[in-house]
Amino acid sequence: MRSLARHLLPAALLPALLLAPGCTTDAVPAQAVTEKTEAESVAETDAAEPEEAEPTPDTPATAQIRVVDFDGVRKLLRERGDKPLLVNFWAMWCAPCIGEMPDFLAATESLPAEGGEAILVAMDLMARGQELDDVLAKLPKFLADRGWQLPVLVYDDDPERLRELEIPGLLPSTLVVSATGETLEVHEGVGTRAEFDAMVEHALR
Amino acid sequence: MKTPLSILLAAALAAPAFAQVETEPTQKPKVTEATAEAVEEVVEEVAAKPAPLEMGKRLDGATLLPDIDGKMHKAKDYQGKIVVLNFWSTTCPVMKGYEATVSDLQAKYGKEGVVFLMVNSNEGNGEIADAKPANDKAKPYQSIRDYLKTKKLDRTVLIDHNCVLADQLGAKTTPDIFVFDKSGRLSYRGLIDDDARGKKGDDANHHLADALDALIAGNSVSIQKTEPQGCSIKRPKKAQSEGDGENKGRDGERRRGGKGGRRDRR
Repeated sequence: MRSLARHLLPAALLPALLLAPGCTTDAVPAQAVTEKTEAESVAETDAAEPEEAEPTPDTPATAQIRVVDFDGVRKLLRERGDKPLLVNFWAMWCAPCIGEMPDFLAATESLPAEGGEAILVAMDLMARGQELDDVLAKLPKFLADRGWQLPVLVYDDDPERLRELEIPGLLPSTLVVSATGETLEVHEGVGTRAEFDAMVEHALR
Repeated sequence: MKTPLSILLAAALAAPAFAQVETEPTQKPKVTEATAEAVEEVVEEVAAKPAPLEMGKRLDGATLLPDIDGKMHKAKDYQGKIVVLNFWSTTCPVMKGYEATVSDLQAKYGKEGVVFLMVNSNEGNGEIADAKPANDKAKPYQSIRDYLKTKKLDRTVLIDHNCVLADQLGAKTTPDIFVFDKSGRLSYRGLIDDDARGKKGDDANHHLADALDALIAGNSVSIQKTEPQGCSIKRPKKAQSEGDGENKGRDGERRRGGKGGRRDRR
């Protein structure tokens, strides 16, 4: 998973995805972000290039967005390479999530420079009536308007199954994961700046 | 020291309406300077984790909540009936996504005498802030009334100020379901079904319906607990807390794990 950044799709490519008639045509460039292909490509990458060099540090002008399935989240948490992780589960429709986000972002700002990773998992699709196309259409502007620049994974799979990874069922939630893929801490509900700072310390310990 | 103080504090934290006989303080504990820190930690723990009702246990019969019209609903009023408490929100898309399901269940099981009560504990999210009518002609909780009217929902909505009932039950999310059998014993807690997205079709597990079927048939519930999923119920700020109101007794500097919303895995 150390090459995660490489697989992230710049928000700028999203219009291409949205123009695609569906997710089954291999010729569509945006296919790269669909669940199945993503999982396969990560697996291939891991097998073929285990010693791959670190990607260049992220300095994105816009947030990077990728659609993941259960396996994508499992890999994110369990196949860490050598980077500890803070991952925040949120949704655009979750007011408390949006409320805590500035604190999460500020606390994790220096994490990449210190050898860690911070990432957001958008759980917008866990409610009935929420559609992937709508979420992908709204997300880039939503992130840009707020200046949020962390990579965002849009979870498009069975939300109940995430309990298998000890991910809480409530939003917001934040996990601290070690470089070896062990969940160190599970925080349910809104966190404070001090709590997020402590989680960053914990991740880097 | 710890237990009596906990009881005392639990009573102190409970709203008057929820007076519970066994939690009324009988004597004031003596607190020395040496134990001040320990006491503080106990205070945090009590604020963070009021031991939630265990499976098979009853709520105190005096437990009561007002509905949006101010009518009081006491736990003991429902003795002899199967009761579904649905922690509920007018703003949570997960809960909204389940309204049609709740309507169906209410229609089906209502005929069997099952009582459905929605509980709005979302004071921390500002949902029940309009307890006082805006003017002489207005009614309290107009936002909830508007929501029900717009969506044509037939619901009994109870108001859980300060998350007192949510804390007693350990309710985490909207939705979060608690089913009590005819003798008032907690018999199921968790999901309505395991299909929040509504995409599983025949593969979905209908936990709430299964629990109700079992109870109506006089059987025990096979799956009594599932992990709830939805929008977090945000606890309102406690008077002494500097936190953000998550009812974790947090002080912002605490580093120990295992409390409140935090499960330390070290």
